[in-house]
Amino acid sequence: MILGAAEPDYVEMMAETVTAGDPTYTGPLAGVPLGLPVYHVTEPEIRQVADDSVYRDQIELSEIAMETDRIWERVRSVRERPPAA
Amino acid sequence: MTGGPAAFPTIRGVSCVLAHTPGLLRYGSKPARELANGGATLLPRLQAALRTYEDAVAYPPNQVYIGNLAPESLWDRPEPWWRHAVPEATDHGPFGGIMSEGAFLGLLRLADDFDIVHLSRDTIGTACRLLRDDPLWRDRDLSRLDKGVVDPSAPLPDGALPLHSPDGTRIGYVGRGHAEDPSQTADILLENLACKASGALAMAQLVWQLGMDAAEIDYVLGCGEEAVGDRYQRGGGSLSKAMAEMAGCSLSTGSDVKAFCCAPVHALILAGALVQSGVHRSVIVVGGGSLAKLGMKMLGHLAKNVPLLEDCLAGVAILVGPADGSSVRLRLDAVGKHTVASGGSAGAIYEALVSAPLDRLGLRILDVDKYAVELHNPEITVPAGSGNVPRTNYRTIASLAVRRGEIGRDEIDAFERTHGMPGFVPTQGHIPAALPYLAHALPLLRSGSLERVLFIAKGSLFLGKMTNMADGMSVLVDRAA
Repeated sequence: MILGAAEPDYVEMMAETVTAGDPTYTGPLAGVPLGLPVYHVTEPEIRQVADDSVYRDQIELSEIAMETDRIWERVRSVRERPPAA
Repeated sequence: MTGGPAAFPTIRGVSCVLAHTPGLLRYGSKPARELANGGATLLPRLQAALRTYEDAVAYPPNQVYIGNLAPESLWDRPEPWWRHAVPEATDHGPFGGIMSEGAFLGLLRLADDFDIVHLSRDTIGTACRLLRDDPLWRDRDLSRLDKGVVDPSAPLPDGALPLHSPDGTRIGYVGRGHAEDPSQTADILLENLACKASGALAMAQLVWQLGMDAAEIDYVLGCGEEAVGDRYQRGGGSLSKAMAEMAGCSLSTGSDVKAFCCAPVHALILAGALVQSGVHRSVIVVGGGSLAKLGMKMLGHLAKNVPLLEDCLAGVAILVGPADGSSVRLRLDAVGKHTVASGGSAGAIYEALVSAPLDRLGLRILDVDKYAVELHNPEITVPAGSGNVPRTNYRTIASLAVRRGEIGRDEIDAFERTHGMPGFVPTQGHIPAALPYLAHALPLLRSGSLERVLFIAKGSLFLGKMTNMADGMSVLVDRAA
């Protein structure tokens, strides 16, 4: 799952939603642990496999606007968390 | 363009009004669906989370909306804003008022030409008393209020929608149109009447605050999102002329501009063009409130013990007039548009809406004092996971300035403070789309505190399932030299 949202809190919530289930219990994924590997589109793992010109054209301006350090930290914390027993 | 810069149309006045409608909140799209899917336990929670009128009046973003506080003042107020009421807040400001539900139900009845809205005697008595105290309505014919009185305990007619006070007491009902017309069910008629009444309220306020004769208005452009019509032309009707009638603009007609949340800026540009061309002299752009969006983020608010802040219908009205050589100009030579070919990335959208109109005038991004973007109140959107919409917009415009070499990356954070503002507008669809800031900007542009403001709106055209595209329009407003 690749996320593109700009806000760290929102990214973390979406990451949580597609791994452990909707933390706000307001949507259909409440209590549904999909366990998907989740990345943000600006993370190096995604950037290095993306077509550079497409990335520049479609993502670059948004990336400048984003607080990517905080976003990466949040999404990694969800991705690298051991699955619940 | 002929006649030089002084010939641009001018902004003559702006009104911003609210109607606090906690009893109607249950008929917002989200609350209505949630209540239908399991309302027995939800309804008491919803009612317990409703705000009083006094709380809605003293809510800092609402005080900004009607002009008693500057948007930037919200940065200095303690958060959450809903816990920190404005002391001695008043229900009227320089741009308009915050109407109580008791008065607004009377306005709904005044808006109703087809005996659709029926209210209890007590409800009508309250509405009459409140409207007779209101300078906008006290001199109007309120006799219609006395008709359509119902016993609220009587059985509902087929297809009718009951009306309730915030505590759940039945106070009347809204009837349907033709029994076989899915475009005129009671909930749709209520939605349309709510938009008509709140839009007419904004127009009446505008004419009143400008000290004008309402008959001086030539034309009205509605920019709301309600679908008025019947089964043969769902959404094909218009509210603008109906609002004009209700606001006493007897010599005007009008039409509606439909473009989702982008419509207000489309409409403002069209109003300017009608004035500039000489077709009309005084054109009002008006947006009424969106009943469907009441309580839209309620689940996020209930989950976080935040009161239901989406409890107000909002209206805005703007008067555009001809050049008078000394006023605030609508720069029709600095219009930005997101075209079919523009592309959907943030870069493409902001190049079209920010770079293109400024480049045409040889201006830099930093030459614009303020950017009015989608001004959704973040205290409503953040708890529901929708993020801080204006902040995202400001960071993207700042990034464009970085790419153009106007600022460094380390200046992105500051751009929101220097060229933006906190969101202060209720999540009423088209209403947060930039234009409410025009009310604040107008006196500042007149006094010279501001030189230029760019108004930017975007619309989610894809929601209608007719295209995957979004839409966007922008226009520069400046101070005549």
